[in-house]
Amino acid sequence: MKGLRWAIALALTVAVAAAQEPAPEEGAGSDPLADIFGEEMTMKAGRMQMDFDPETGEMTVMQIEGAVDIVSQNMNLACDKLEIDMVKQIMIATGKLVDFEREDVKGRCGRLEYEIETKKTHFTGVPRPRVQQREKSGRITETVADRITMIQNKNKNNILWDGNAELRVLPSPSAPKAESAEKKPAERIDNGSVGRLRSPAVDTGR
Amino acid sequence: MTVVTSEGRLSYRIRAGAGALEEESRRIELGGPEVEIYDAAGEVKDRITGREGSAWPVELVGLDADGVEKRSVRYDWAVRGDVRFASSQGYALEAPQIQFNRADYALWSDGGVRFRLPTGRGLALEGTAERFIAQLDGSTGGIKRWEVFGEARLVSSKAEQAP
Repeated sequence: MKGLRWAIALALTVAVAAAQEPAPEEGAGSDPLADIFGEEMTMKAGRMQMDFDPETGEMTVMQIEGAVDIVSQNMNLACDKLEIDMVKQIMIATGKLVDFEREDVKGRCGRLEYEIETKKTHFTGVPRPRVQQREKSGRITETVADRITMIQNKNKNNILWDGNAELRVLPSPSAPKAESAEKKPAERIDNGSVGRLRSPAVDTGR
Repeated sequence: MTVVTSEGRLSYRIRAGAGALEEESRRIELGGPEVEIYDAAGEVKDRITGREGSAWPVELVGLDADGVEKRSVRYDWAVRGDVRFASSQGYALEAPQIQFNRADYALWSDGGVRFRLPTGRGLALEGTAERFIAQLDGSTGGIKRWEVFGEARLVSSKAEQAP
């Protein structure tokens, strides 16, 4: 019963945070690559292709294939194929496993879509999206769902999910076992309850 | 030895320590100590240097505005030996050899290429690759498409930095 109350409280907290969708972070650079990765980025891949506008000399599309591995100031990303459309302001990573890491968030899925302007990350595809977020307390919240959207803000990431959602709270790796490190079984979230908890005005990013 | 060819906007000049023209094939062989091919239209813009080079004629067939077949001869070229390419657009290459293929209007190279490629938005991608192909635009001479093959590593950095 105590566990159920706690799960509802957590779901409420996340739903309220999601309802207060933050405005996109300001001050982003003019180069979409810098907006995505920051000014330091190392990329390894089998093949990279960049298309330019011959008139302006500006890069328009970047396609990267074959064991793509990116380590950057803002995020780390591994996938099979990556496309960055500078004109449409979108980055799409696909593969057998797309592995994403940004500050306190780790994500895995089959397809990752990042909207450069709004800083929304959509996790979809196969394998089923799984996102782990480490909170300031050290506690890790793991979300598994058919579609997960992360909205990036200055100090926090808001996470929204849709479809067969499961939410797990994992103990902090550094927390003493005697207190809260006892492993709790995954608690399945009732989708009906989640729907009622959500404000109808919530933008799910879909 | 200096060879000057004029092909519309992409006229260029070749300078080399020695040269030989084979009459039948019209192939030009260029010798060191330094071979230089650069834009001959006014100021030096795009410049490629190396230890030796070759230029050979290629017959191109196309249709003019009235649909009449038009044939023209253009030169492909290759420069070998510590080749450095510096473009007026800001991209730069270092490779054992760089070749220009006029049929698909592409610069390409195999083996240990170092490159710097400005994104045109204030940053540049720098890296190394086993092979690259740069497809150029026929009218502006600018890059349309850039492909890098092999295990390449890219680092974004300020465009001013040399490769």
